[in-house]
Amino acid sequence: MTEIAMTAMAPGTNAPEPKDCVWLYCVGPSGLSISSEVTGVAGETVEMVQGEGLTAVAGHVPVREFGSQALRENLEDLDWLGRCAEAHHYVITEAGRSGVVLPMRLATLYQSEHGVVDLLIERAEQLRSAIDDLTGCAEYGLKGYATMPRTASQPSSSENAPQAPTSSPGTAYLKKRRADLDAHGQAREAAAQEAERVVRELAALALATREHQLHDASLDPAAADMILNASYLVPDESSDDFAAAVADLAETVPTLRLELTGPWPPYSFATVHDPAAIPD
Amino acid sequence: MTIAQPEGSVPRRYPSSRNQYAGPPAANLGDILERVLDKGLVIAGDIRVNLLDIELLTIKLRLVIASLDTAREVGIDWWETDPWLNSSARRDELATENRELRRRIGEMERSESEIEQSRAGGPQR
Repeated sequence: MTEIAMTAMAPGTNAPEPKDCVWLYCVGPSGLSISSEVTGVAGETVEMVQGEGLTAVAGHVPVREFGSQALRENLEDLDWLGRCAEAHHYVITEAGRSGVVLPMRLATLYQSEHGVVDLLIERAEQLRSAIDDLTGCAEYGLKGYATMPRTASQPSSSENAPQAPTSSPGTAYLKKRRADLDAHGQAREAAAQEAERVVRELAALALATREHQLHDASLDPAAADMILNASYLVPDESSDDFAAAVADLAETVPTLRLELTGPWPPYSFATVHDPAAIPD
Repeated sequence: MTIAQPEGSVPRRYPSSRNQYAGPPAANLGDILERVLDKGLVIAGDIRVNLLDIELLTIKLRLVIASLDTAREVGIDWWETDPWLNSSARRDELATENRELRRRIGEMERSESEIEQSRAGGPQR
């Protein structure tokens, strides 16, 4: 028999049998649909897995690229990761055109469709309740940056400061430097207080708010003055009001530069309620 | 329902028409990564990626997540050599550390011999 030789080959064929695993994009209600032309993270045709009145959007992807070993390596390749993230987001966005979706964290994988069906059966209640909570809403992202006076204390400090006339150039430099830092710190402090107010005001227009970690400035200079990074869950009928409120705040709070993104699928709000967990 | 679809193998673009989730007009990669890596529903699948590794990756990515594209443009490419993000860099890590240690020892030895010399050549106290 040539069994051994045969199992060793068959690369590049379309047979999706043992060489594939299943990538899960999102879960939504039973009516969820997607264009047959939408392709996923591996360029595969996306499928709808039905069960318990729910729809899971999934795709068969090759183990050689998405198996746990390969995946670990690929996730470290930022080009691969970027393409994968975009494709994942694209499928979720396309599915979201036909109804509310619960986006899965990147790299939620099953050995076969059975795993996805089991998920729908086992977590049906929780998934349905999460879907209910998010129906008719979208996520908006808001980032805020402190607008710093560019050379904070330059005009005044050197003249007004009652410094000893005998200061050496070094001491004078250090004093000026400290004054600059103080001014910078004060400006940031003031902006941070405004940011808190902005978060509160906008939260009143949203169903839910999540405050996210600020980006680190050490490698992204643009994030140096970030003082606000939040997501809001906004009912569709209030989205215009919400955008208007952001625009209004952007105008009336000069110490803050605001950046609004969205509508997003509800990435930051798709949580499965664990009955054991304490509600917030 | 019509969905704009690019032909052939042309890279996909986000749909520009607005529907329920039109996708932000300027959804940059950083914004997308921030969401798909860090948020979204977490359900343990069958295939476990070492979560610790993913979290490390996420933490590292958070550092530049706002502008991966811009980072490249301005020449920030630390991930090429970052041991957390690049496995070949990880292999080089020890060698680099060794080199660095040798360099510092060399420096210390040199400055020590300089002190020695200046003592020897300087005025006697």
